[in-house]
Amino acid sequence: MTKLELTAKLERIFKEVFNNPNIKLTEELTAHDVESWDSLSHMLLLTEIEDELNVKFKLKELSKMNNVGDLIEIILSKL
Amino acid sequence: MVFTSINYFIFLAFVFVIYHLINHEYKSYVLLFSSLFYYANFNLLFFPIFLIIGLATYFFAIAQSKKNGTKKEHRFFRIGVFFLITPLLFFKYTKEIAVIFFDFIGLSYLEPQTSFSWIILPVGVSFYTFMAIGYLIDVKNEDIKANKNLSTVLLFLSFFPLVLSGPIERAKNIFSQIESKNQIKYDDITDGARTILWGFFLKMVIADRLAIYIDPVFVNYSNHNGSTLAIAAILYPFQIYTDLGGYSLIAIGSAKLFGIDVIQNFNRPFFATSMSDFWRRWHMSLITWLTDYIYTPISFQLRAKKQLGIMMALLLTFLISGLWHGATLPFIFWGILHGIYLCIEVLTSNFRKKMIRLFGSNKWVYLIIAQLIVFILFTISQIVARSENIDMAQIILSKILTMSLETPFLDYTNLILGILFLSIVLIKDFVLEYKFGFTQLILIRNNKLISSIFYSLLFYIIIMFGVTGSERFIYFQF
Repeated sequence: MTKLELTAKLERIFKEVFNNPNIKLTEELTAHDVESWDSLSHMLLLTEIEDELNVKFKLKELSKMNNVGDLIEIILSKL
Repeated sequence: MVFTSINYFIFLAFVFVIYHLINHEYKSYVLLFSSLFYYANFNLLFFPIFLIIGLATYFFAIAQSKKNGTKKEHRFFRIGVFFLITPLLFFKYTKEIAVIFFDFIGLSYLEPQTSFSWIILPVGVSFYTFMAIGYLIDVKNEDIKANKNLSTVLLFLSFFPLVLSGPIERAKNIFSQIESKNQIKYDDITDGARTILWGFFLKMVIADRLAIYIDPVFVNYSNHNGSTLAIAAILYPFQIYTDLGGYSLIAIGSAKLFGIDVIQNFNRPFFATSMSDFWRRWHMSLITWLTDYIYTPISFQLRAKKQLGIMMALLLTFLISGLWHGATLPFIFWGILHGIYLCIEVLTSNFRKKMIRLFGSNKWVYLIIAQLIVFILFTISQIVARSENIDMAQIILSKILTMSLETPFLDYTNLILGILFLSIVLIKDFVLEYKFGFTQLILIRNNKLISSIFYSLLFYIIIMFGVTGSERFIYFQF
């Protein structure tokens, strides 16, 4: 999967989890920029991504996910 | 040397002068030795144990990182955490466990209070233990490298502004500042002094003043009527805010005098519009610690259970928060209560979003209602936490709920003074929260004349209206 394809898939997941059709994913996007993306919804987001993309995150990786760009890199390293 | 004593001033001034005169290489040693002196002076008996905890933290972190990626790493980590948490558990919970144990085996253990009264909780142990454990976890998660410099690690744990009652800091933030080559800025010094002054205002002029009314009412709760208890209960959150908040500001300001930036503990909590929002504004250093080291790993482990997993993680995290404050039933109930509040918010999050949209342009109405609800929920939980036992909490709550138009007991002088100065703080919070007159506040900070007048006035208020002689800080007991 290319970065572009992955970003598109993630964008779809984000829109679903946060119930917001207007979300546009950029590499610099962080939880601060998206309404209702907090520590509660973060886990739901990760679970959805794991289910849809068939990957498994490690706890260590959580603290390294500072923005969407980091998230994409981490997922790509697993695919 | 409690913060609100003359001795602390003398000590702080002394360390400040030496720190700024001495060669850059030795600055951190000045802080280290002053901090060790500060702690030993406060609690000589526990000082050896404190040193052992510090050394253990240093060695376990290094042992962990040497065995990185192997099973031995986990073993060192587990032993390390166990070693560090044992003194905390012992000093905090032995009495309660003994009482429960004897109750359980059917013997009413006479006078457990006196038998175990020699176990006095050393001030600060809850705070620096968490800091030490946080460091070990960070090393395990490869967030930070184990520090080879013993004095850095010891200073991190013993740093005198933080050691007794926080804010609870992280190794990553403090190590880099201790070892930084940066020169201290003049602004840091004025900033630090102002913050300390504001902290004194909060603590001595407001918290201690309110305490004069609130404390006796709670002690004598069975003889007071519902309306009196209601007034004391409503003021109590503000007492804690200004007590712990004031203390934290003195700590933060003191650290700033040495160019060290420390995490804030409060962010205008009474303007929170939900309990989750509240917990992002109240005692932030403790909550972020619990979030990063307890909530996140647990909710991550349980993520397959989706909402249920999150709720389980929330309940456990806040149960631990309650236990951190004390092992008695009131604190356990307090913790579980907040866990329940947050679970309900998780379940009703869509409903609440709809509510906000409903109010639309009348957003203010929603804000006020939400803030009131949060305040009431928090106050109820604080009545529970402040009670010696569940019966007392029950009696107080039922008296308040069944109160009629009875004349409350009022202590006019202390109430008026306390509430008057409290309103200054709340107005400042209000203005900053909604950015009204944002420029005005900038004016105060940047205009040297206005700033000097303002802070001189503040100093005068502290001298004239500050309650002296009270060496009690609410959070010393935790």
